[in-house]
Amino acid sequence: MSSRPPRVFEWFLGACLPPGSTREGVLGDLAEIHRRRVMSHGAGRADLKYSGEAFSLGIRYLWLRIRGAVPDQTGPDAGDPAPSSSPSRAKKPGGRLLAELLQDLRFAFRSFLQRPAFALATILTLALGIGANTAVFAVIQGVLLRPFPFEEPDRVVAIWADRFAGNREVVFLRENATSFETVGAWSPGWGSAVTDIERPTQLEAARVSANFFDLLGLRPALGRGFLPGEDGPDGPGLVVISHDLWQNELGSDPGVLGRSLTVDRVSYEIIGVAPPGFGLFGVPRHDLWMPLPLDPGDWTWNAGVVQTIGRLADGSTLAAANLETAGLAPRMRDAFGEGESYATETAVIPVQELAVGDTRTMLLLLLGAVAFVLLIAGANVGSLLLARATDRRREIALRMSLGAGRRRLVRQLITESSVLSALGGAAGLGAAFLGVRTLVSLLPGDTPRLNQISVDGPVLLGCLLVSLAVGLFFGLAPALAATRGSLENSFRGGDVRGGGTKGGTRLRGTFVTAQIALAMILVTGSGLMVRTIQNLAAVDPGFRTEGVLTFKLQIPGGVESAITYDEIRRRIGALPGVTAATSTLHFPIKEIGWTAHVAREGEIFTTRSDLATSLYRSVDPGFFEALEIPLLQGRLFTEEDRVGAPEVVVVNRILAETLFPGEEPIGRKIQPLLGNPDSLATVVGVVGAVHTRTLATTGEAVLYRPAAQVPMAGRTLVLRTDGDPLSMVGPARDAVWSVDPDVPMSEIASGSQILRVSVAQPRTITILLGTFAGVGILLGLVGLYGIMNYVVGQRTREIGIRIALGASARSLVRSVVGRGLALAGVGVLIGLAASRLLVRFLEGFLFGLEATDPLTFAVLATGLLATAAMAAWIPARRATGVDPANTLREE
Amino acid sequence: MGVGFIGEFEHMVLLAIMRLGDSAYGVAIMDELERTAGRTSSRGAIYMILDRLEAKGLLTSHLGEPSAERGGRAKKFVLLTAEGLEAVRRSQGALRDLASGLETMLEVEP
Repeated sequence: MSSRPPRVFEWFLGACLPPGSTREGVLGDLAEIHRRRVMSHGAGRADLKYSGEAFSLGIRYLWLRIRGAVPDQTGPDAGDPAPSSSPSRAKKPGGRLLAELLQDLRFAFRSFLQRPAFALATILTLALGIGANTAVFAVIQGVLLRPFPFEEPDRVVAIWADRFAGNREVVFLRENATSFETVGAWSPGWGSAVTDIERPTQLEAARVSANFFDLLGLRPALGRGFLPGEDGPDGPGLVVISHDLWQNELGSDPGVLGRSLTVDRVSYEIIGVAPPGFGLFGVPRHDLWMPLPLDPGDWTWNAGVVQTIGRLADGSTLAAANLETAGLAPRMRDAFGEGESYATETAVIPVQELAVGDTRTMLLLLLGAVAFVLLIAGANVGSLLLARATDRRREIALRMSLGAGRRRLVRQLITESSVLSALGGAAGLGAAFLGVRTLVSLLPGDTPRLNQISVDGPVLLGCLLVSLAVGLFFGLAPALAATRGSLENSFRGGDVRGGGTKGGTRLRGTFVTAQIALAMILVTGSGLMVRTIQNLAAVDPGFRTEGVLTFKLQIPGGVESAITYDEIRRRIGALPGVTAATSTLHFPIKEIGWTAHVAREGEIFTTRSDLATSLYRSVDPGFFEALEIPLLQGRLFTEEDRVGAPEVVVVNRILAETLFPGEEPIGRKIQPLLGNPDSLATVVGVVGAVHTRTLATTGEAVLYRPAAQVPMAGRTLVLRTDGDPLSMVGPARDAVWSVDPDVPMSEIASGSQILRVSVAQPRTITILLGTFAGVGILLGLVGLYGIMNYVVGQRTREIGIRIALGASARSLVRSVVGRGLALAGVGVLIGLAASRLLVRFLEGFLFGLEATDPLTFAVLATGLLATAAMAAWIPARRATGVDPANTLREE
Repeated sequence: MGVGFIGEFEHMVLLAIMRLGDSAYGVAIMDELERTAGRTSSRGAIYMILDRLEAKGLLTSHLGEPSAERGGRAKKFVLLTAEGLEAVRRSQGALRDLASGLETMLEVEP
């Protein structure tokens, strides 16, 4: 445990303190207290307290120094007892620069106090931009960038990333591939019922090879991982449990090792507790790890159930590993007697990439969008600074004529903008703390590593850098513009009263055009997403979800479990309010389930990969009726389709057309091959196709088997109710436990909740993109309003004269609004052109429309122009209120 | 600068420094105030007071040896100057004079 204080804050405080004995003493005191707190309260609390104290002390000292209340160098050097507060700053190189900087800072604060509205507007605008960016960056840091807590995480790779392999592949690679130090495997999704903790609970278990923990370089918090050989054919029943499970269910019992845990009615010995926060490559939760049986006799030997992972050998690279694996694929194909299509893709990728999956694209998209918001905010600030600098032209000219160098003045103006952006950044940081929570709640629940997201050191640093960059970038142009030009021009009365320069106004015009262009891009992006959501909502999934309640049950034990299921189904079906009760192994859209190869009777094939593939589902009688999946031909399953009765299947329309194009499917015999082949079964019915994976994809072949003929431990119960489905949860639970109190019930959801979860990602993108676009438009319009207001103010004299000469109010309004629309119009055109290029990044998230959908583009461009006209119209109205008498009197 | 009266907290801080002798520095002063007087305060308040007292010439400071417990940083020790001692005396005396005759009410030994 390190007793070193958090570096960022230590650095911040050091920078704020006056150099000399005060800095030395205060930093030392805080370090001492921090060390003390680490001992008494732990590193986390100590760090937190330190950060708070360092921040508030730093701000206090900074403020004192800016006000000049503390000398810039206090005290003597170490050990030299000279009188304190001797101002020796001029002697040091850079001392003058520092003194000037402090002078500038003082000046900046004074000028903000004179114009608090300007300062506040700038700071709030920046806080919005920087806060939103910091929050999104915090999410990216937590989800994408933070390394996994493994040893050298970038050397841990997923082999064959796009597909699950069998244990035979794991063993083959282990014996033949040299690019890897070790090859291991993990197999997720083994739901398990644990019955000897407080209440029966369904836990997520993973089966892993014995070298799994060693491969990751992971040291269990307690006990050990698995030893070589413990994943053999008759390995002992051992289990490593998660830190959460240990804490929440087992009361953090230090004597937990050696204790037995009943998982699916089999007793396992607890040998270790995983380190806290160890999730597995993006799988949201795991509670148990058990050894995988690496046994040619086990069904997992040639079924696609494991993800192969490896640690790159010393000196090996990702590219070399990719090359070697591709070279080994044909040998594996021959060794396993597979066909041509076997292992054509053998990608080796860092495991972190596997975990993050398509969340990366979504987050990068959002980062791009939020960066646009920052640019728009920055342009607003630039515009404000420019107006302010122009107002101060006379003061600047005076100082220049008194001998101040341009460089010095530019530096002062940039100091001002940097202070503003630093304050904006500080306020933005506050906004980010709130924003991160909102963001996390908006992200899809299955986003990997959601719990890792926080505003931490790298995020603070990023926030600081962005703030400084914004201050510099958007402060420079106005500073240069304000100090350009001849002195006499500035002193000539007309220009001063006019208050501006052509160059400055042009620059502000450019800012506004850029803002509108950026806002346009955001708006088109969110417009396309809104239409995507609308299209998704209009999709008919092929089954009815209204009134449907689903939950998972885990009942171990072959045929016996089928009897328990039947009894539970019967009792729930008899509940008042329940019109149908049935079950399925995998619920459509919620779970993809298994894929099987299907052979027709008598079909001759050399390898499985020559056969048609289909999703494999086992369902109880009443399943199709409960979800209103239409029967197209033949019959549905009945209670008579059980063990001992003739084996039957129902296929969906797509599988029927694939297997028997133009022929009668009913009565034909097929053989599903999943792991070990099933026996031949007769097709008794053809049903309609449903959406199986997402609302956006359709057209997959599905094969249904009667659950009674292929019993499985974990099932999803499906109830149709005639009221609010969630109100039936309590009665259903009582019914389950009246049959067997040891059966855990989990993943309770209504049918419509399942559909909603399935569109979580597009919905998140829509909400966030829409918010960013809204903020972008608002800032852009404020910018437009600002410049039009300014232009009107600048032209007061001209307008007054024109009114005196009889110009109509209408023509004046038209002229001002026209000017505003010209600026906005150019912005919209640029934005539209850029959108066509940029929305390609969005293409993967769109549904039911093209990324260049002309209707969306046209509607949004018109809408933006209309609001731009409004923003210009308000200052235009002001112009017509100019009293010509005033103007003429001034002349 | 003439030494006027000092504030109550300044007075307490100066007394704490006197009690600590030649080992008075930020952390020790805070500990002493808390232990002896039961007075807790923010770190910032203490440093501001120390800076102010030093600027008024009531304190003088010097740096000690850097140490590992302090992340390689030295302690900034403070000592009362003659003016500092005078200020404490004067403040103490004023309090005593004001309190004389109020012993029963204040429940202290005269």
